[in-house]
Amino acid sequence: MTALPLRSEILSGAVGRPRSAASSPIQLAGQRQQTLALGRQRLMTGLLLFCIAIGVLVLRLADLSLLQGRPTVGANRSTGAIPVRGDIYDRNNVELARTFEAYGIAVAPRKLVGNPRVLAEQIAAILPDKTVDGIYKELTARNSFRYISRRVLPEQAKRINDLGEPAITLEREPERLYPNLNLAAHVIGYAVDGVGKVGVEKAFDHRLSDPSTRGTPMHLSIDARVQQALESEMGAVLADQRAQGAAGIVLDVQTGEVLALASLPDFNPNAPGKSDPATRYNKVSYGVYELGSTFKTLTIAMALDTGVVTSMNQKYDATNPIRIAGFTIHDDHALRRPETIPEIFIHSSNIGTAKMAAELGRDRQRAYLDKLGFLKQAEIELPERASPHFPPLSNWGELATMTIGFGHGLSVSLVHLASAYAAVVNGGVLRPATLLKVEPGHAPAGTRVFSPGTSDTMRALLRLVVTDGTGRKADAPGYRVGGKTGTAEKLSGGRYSKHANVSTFAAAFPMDHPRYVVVTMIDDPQGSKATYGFRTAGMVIAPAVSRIVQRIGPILGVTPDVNKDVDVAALLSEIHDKAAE
Amino acid sequence: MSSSFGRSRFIGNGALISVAMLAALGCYTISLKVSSERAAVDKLRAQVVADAHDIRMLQSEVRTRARLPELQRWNDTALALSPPKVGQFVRDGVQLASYAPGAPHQAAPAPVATAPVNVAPATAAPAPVTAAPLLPVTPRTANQLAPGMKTINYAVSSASRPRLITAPAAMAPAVATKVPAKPAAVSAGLDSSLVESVTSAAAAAPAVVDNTSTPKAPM
Repeated sequence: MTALPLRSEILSGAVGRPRSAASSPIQLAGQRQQTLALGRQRLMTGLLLFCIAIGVLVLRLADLSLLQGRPTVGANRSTGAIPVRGDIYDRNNVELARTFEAYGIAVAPRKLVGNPRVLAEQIAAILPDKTVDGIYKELTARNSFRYISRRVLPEQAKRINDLGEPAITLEREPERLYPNLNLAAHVIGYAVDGVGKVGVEKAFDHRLSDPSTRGTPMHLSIDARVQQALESEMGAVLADQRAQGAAGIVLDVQTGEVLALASLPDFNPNAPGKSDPATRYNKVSYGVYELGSTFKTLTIAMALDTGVVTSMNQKYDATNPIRIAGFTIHDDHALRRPETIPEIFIHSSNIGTAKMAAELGRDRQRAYLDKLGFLKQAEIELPERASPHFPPLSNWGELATMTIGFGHGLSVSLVHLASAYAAVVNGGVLRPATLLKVEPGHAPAGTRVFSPGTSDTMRALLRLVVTDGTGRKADAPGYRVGGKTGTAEKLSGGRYSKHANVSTFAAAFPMDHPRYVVVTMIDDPQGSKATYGFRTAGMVIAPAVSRIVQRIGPILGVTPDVNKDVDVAALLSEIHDKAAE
Repeated sequence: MSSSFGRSRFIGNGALISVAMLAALGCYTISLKVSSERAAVDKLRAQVVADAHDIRMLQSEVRTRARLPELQRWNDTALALSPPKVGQFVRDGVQLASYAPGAPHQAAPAPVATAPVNVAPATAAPAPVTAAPLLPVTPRTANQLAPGMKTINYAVSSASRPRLITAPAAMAPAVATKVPAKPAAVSAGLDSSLVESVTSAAAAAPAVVDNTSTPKAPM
């Protein structure tokens, strides 16, 4: 095998001749080894660089796919979809309060370029609720940042932006909106700059603003339809009677849920600062009143429960007024004879009830009032709760026992009274009123106050007041309404006023199987053509209760039935004069 | 031999480099793809959030416009709707079924195509109810009445109860014609493909007993 000619041999023409010692294979082998070693070294370096590059890419891929993806998702959700303050719904998912991003128009006065007077006129033309002078004042202020207007419409924000003034900026800020305006204003309350100030907004401020809970809407026990019906009817009475105020509450007797709570006059929580401070006063939970004859229901229930009254034909002499400690207790509808229990109740006899309370005694009366929660703040979530007014033990003698028996000398809120009436008619169990929706089967156990037998008797007596007593105008055909009127002289400056009263009606329906309590109150009614000038509860507020029951009954699933009713025949036999009121 | 070995190694190294380059290029392409997908997802997520905000804005507007006090104001000023009375509730299915046409307690068969055919002035005294035995009007009985008389068409509301017509001793002939049904008749569930009207003679019009409602105006 011959060796291949070298390139130098070809160029020099020495192909085929024997190679000399100078061009020996030994020298050639050394060069080739060096070249090969250099090539391998370069190749290894290149491979190493590629490996490093691939490693970097793999690491980058892992970083992108495993590490960087997850936090981004959470961050976006937490800042985007969840409102900065939780929504408030009624029990049927009707929105009562929500937060959305509104536009605010701000200005940096020191950076203003245009003529402030001209600019103020242009902005005032876009924002009709602002004056030129007011806007001019903001534009020329010496501060570095001023709001011209907050919560403006998107179209208005766009038009202001189109003015082209660089010192004016559009701020996106969370705004609390109450879509139903004044509806349930005293329940919901309002929040200012994300902080609850009144009502549920204040009571559940932490729940509504905490990032871990604000994403879930809060469901109240309120039914917006019932609330609207209550406010509408009470508003009509308020206007008709030219009264100082009106209030009402609708309560579920089995769960304690408040389905409606109205205090009139009310306010618009979207602009609470523009309302009269008096309108922000919650007459249902924060106001306390001597609620008059509505207390007679409780006194008779106590007497029945303790055995002071053992029969419906038991009589108390109401022939003459009671004179005690310089005071005189008399009847407005005096029969001037001994009266049976049903007569005392449907004629609303102060004398009969006072004697019954005296027989009951201070200690037992106080113990029952304590169990009914009348000696402490009403149990409801609202922060606006007043303490009841009652005499100290040292001053709670026979006179106080008698007057408290028919609703004078003890001032409580309508929440107190509604909860107590619920206990009277639901079988005798007191459950705290609540503004939170109670899921079926999760009602609190409650505290037993009266026996079921007492409750049954009281249901019949309450029905009797509406069929044959002072509350006849509260009857709603088919709904079996029962209740008790109460007309108390208003306490003003420590003295009772002869010309101002508080008319109350505490009702429940349907009385054969009570489901709801409706307590309504009118503060200082003036009488009207519709009430023939009367200002008593039976004339003023009872018709409104009838209308309220007829409106909310079908909504709440109570079907009217004229073929059902409470059996009051035994009670009627104890009434010897049916000319009540 | 060594030259061929060197060439094959050169080719091998070249192939290795090519594979490495391809791998690097592939990885880089994947990285780019991931980045672009992530950007798209972020953009979509931002869009979702923006849409959620817009939805809340629109919901706020809709619910503010449809607020209950506003509906109450409409009702007070225009609609005048009132809560249902006790007689407007149906207690059970039996009571509901009793309202169906042809229910057992109904006296007349359905469909009943009948109409008052008395052309006397409105002030005329009504015919005595007990003047003659009651006869349900059907197309057949109507056809038995004599044709060729002055025609007066009345449409009978399908929602009203079946009526009975008294047949006087000397019955004037009448013919039954058909007119298209009204939508209300269809919804009432009667045999309402057609509602018949009765034509009759002016002179000897049969008296109509209608214990439910006054006759409708002539069509």
